[in-house]
Amino acid sequence: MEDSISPVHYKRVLVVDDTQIDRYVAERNIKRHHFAEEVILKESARSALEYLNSLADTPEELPTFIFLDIRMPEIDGFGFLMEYEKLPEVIRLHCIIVMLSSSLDQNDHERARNNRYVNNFFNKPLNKEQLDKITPPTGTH
Amino acid sequence: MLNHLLISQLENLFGGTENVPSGCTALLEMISSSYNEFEADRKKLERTIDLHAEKLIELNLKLRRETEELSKAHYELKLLFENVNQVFFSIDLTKNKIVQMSPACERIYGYSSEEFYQNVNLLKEVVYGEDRFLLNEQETMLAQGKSFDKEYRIVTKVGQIRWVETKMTPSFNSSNEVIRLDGIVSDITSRKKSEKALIESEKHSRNLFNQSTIGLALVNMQGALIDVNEAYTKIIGYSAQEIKNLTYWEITPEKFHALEKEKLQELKDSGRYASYEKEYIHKSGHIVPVKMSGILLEKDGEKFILSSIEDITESKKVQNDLLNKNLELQKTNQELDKFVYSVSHDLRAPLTSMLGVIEIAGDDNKDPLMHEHLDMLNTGIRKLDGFIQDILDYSRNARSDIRKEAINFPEIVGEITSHLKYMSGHNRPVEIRTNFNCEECFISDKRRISIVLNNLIANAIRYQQLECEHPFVDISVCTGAAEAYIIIKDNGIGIKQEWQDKVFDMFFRVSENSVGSGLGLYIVKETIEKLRGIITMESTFGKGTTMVINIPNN
Repeated sequence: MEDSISPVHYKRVLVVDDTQIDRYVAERNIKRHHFAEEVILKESARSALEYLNSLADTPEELPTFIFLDIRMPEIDGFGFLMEYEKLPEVIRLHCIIVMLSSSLDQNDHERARNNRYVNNFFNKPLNKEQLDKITPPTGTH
Repeated sequence: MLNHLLISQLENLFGGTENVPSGCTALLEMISSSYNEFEADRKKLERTIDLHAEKLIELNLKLRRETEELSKAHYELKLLFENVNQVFFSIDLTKNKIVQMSPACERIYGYSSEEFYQNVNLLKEVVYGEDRFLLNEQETMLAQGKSFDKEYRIVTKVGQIRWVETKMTPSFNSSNEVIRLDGIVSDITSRKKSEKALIESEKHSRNLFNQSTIGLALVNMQGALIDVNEAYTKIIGYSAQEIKNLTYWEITPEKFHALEKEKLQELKDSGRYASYEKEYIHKSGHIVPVKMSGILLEKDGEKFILSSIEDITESKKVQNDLLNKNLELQKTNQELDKFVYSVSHDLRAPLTSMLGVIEIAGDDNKDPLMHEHLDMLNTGIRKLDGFIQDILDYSRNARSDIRKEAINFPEIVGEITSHLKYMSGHNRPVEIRTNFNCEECFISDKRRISIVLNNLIANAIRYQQLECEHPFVDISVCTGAAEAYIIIKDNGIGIKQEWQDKVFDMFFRVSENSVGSGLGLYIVKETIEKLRGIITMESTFGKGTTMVINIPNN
């Protein structure tokens, strides 16, 4: 219902979060601010990795951004990053990872900052200012 | 050849030897040889006389010397007799009279020689009552012809009690009767006194030795335990008797032997060894931790070690307990940290979810009342979130170690102010003025500095004056070699005089309407204290607040 005439910046992004509400909020905000056309939602690191792996042969289908939560059951955000490193290079070249967490733990922030695949660390909830930071000034993809 | 004396006679008589009638020649020759003999004899005699004369002179000299010596000796003897503290005396039993008494008697007894000469019994009368029994003994001994040698007390003329030693020897006549007694009396009072003092001091030392609660042991250089006190026997569990058959090495675990030898060397070099901890093997076989120190003693030319030994079983136990407690505490601390972090996350996560949903809800609704309600929810959630963050900051400050790194004040302040710009609420934007004078490298704990600055700047923005047209926060930082000097000044609502002492207290809030947790300034103060800094506040109600902070440069 918002100004649908605005250009959409990216084709596809991935949100990895075990909390349903947060996935919903992220999706709504991404769509509302025309950040991406399609938002893929995954509720676990494992399913997200499987999804990425399945696109190894069709890299154009890969999401441009991965919004990654940290505290998740089974494999947490950092566990995801370790597995991500083992993925085919084509996938890693295609995706930009942004941590999206409510963690105030300085260690989390430092670990994220020190990981070469992590581009940014956003505090929840995802908002326009944060998305603007990773939007090209031209507003096109 | 005629004797030369005869020749000179002949010349006198005849006017030369050639004038002597020729018939006399044989006679002359006879006379001449007699002359010769006579002359030789005379010379011999003269020599003998000379020799004897010399001897006589020598003897005479010797005699004179000896006489001198004798008179000197006599003089000295006389001096001695008169001056020595010993009294010589002789009693003539045939006359029942004291015939000789050296003047020193006056010094010992207080009675003059004269008084003794007049009273033969005086020597017995002066004997101290309790010691009079010795007089009988003396009588018996002397009667048997034996010498008498005893120590006893006497009472002087002025009533003083003195100790004397008397030696008496009897002399006999041809019919074996005792006719004379010779004796010497010496004053031994001071000797007796020091003997007594010595005995007492030995007794005293012994008491100290025995009653000490610290174990004491006298060990010879071979390691034999010569003497120990009761406390020592208790430490190692052997009786004093059993200990006599033990050596030091037997009750010392082998692992300490090397150390012991080191200590022994130290003892030889410096006369003592510094206190150290070791272990003993108790009679029952268990190990007793002890602390010992000692000195080198020399007694009658032989060397000994006097060691004091303290049983430190208890203090070791306490020490171990403390160590364990400390480890436990560290563990608890770490667990608590983890707990605080995960709780804060688990509490925060739903809050951030809610904030997200509230924002979305507002987007799809134009109803102003609904927006008002959503704002209320938003404010409430942010307040709760702030509270959680404060608790996190507090626990972090209380327990984490201080990290040291170079502090970039412009960067930190920039991060904080850009973050606070989005601080929601009805507040208008506040002008943030900064002034950095930070050429000097400042080393401190970045997280803690951030916590302090964040809280103070947030307060300055949060408590702005609504009536004020131009709200501002003035932040100036100046770093020096010794410290950083930070001033945060605002023109906000200020703090009433009566609250100024309390604003740094835990959970103090000015009113129920305060948006904070009541922890902010408490955390600021605690954090600055942890950094060994100082914060002072100056505030005028209705005008503004200035916070001044000094933090040492590490």
